Amino acid sequence: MKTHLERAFALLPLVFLCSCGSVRIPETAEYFNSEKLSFHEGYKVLQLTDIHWSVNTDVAVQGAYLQAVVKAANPDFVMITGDCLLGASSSIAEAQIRVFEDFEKPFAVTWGNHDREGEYSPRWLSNLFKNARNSFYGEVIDDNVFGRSNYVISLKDPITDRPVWNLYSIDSNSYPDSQNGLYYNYDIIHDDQIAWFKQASSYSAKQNGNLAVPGLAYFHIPLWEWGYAYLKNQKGLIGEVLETSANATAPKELQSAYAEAGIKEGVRFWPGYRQTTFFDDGVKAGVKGFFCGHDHSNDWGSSYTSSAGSAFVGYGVKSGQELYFAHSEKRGFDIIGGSLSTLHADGTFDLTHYYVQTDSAYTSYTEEVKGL
Amino acid sequence: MKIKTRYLSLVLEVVLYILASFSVFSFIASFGNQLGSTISSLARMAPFYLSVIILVYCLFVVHLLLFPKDEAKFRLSLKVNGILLAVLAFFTGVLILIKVISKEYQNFLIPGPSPLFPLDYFLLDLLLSALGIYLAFKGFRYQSKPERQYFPYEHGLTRKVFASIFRGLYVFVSLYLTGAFLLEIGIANYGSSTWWCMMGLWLLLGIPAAYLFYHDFFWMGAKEISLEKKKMIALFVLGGALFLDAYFLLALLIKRNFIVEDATALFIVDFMKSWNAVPYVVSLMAVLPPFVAYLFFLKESKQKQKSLQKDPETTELHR
Repeated sequence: MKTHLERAFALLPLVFLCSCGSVRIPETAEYFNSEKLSFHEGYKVLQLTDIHWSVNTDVAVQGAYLQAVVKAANPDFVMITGDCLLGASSSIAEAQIRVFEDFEKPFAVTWGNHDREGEYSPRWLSNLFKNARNSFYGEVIDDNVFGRSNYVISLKDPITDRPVWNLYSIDSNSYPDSQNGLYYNYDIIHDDQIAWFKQASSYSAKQNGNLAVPGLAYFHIPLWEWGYAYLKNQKGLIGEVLETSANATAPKELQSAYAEAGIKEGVRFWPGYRQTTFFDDGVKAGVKGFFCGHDHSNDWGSSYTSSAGSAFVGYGVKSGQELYFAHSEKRGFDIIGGSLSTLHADGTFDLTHYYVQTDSAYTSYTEEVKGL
Repeated sequence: MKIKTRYLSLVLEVVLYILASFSVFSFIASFGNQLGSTISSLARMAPFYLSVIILVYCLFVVHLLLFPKDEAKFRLSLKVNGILLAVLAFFTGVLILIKVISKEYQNFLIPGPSPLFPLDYFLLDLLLSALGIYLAFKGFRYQSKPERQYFPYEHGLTRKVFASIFRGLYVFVSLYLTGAFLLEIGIANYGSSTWWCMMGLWLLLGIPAAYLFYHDFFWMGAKEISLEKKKMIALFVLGGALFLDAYFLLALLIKRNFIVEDATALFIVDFMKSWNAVPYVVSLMAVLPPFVAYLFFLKESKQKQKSLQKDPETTELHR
């Protein structure tokens, strides 16, 4: 008996080791929302971004502000593109999720580089968001795809049940390993995530009679294409680039292109450490708009054309005053609020930026681009 | 100090250290956020910052009282630090109360640095204030006790000043690392494929606290330790620290991204600023104390040898 027990105990560490880091390969369907969301003409998706609640946050004040932004835009769906939290405690994270629940709108989140920097585990945070009321946060836990917030929200035709629009949430991750040992660059959307995205978009196309489903891609860290689009058209279609510091770690290719173009402020975008194929693959798969956060002071957006095709690339509007934000002298208001995409059945969309100020009346300013 | 009182004080020191480690961890997260913010919430968070500073101050006071230099300083320390602690803690408690009454804090339980904020810090301030009053009372009603042990400083003023600054800083950083060490128990990604890498980092996080614990519980209270034995202990500890450092750095070479994957929660300021200071800080915090101690013991031993060579007759007498 004793020998059996001893053997059993000896096996325990082995069982523990085998269970460590176990991953599975889920079916593609698992990455799509199981609860149906019906599309209607003029479906409105509000992007909130870089909320940055920390242990210092006055939850009552900032929660009321977010409610005011949602009220101003009156969306059908709220998509939050990361950095919801930074240096937060679990009680702050719980308070934030209660605010999101109280929007009384379906909502989802794609993680930013700072969300994990709080007094909780990433798994705990994922479960908090997964189990929240009205949440469409669709992380497939322990899958084999890099990152966590990789999933698709499919808006379906209420009659035919075919997908009409897809909202892609893609984790742009946080930091790669520190290559020089002194500081971290920003991470990218990894190649296996792009492979997963292609698989998911073609799965959706199959449900749509092998026609690419128009989509919007939401992630946190901008792609290099933001920098190239600005190089081609600094005015853009909406917003401004108001980041004040030049990115010293910006890709050398971008820096020299900016120098050649005589942009003396330098590269005021903070993309990942290398260029990926995500823009090209996204455009091929029907993505019409790519939206990120990350660079709080930038709310700029433009159309960008690569060899694969054209699409809109743009920042959201930083949501709230936590951490840092910009004031536009030219436009005369603070660059805080939200960004609303109005989707049309013909595969185009309109974009409206809501700049909701923090005065007692929550004075709002809007800027709009149609027919994207 | 009676044996019982001494052990109670040591227990109090440990309890304060653990409380302070959690608080300092949140303090750094909060303060780091302030540094990058457009709009300051310093005034709103002031009672929290003051409470943490007072808690750390109280820890230093208890340490000073556990290891007094001489009777006069012990008595003065009881009075001055007691009054200061009582006044500061009471003032901070009142500040919290004002913020609650004025509705800047909506009530005694709001989301913040801890699950019971600000009630927990309010009660802590009251307790620390009471402790301050007790210490001051002891100072004014001081009774000399022959059994009280004193720890006079023997190494000159310059070294004393440097040691005070270095130890203060070391304790502050170690409080943060201990906070991270304890937090990791609750939030570790236990199923992670890099758990074996994290194990090395986790142990390194706990090392400074272990040094401080060893110093206060065993080193300071120990009877005469020969210089040779001191050197051996320092060398043994240094070997252990270097082994752990080597393990950690090797893990970092094999799984270069494991700190990002598993430990972002523990090093908020590092990632907030995209710095990669962790490997250097944890390695130095583990290696530096035994290394410095070994150098001092080596110097002492050489000086002793020199004096023995100069004066062989005295040596014979000493033997």
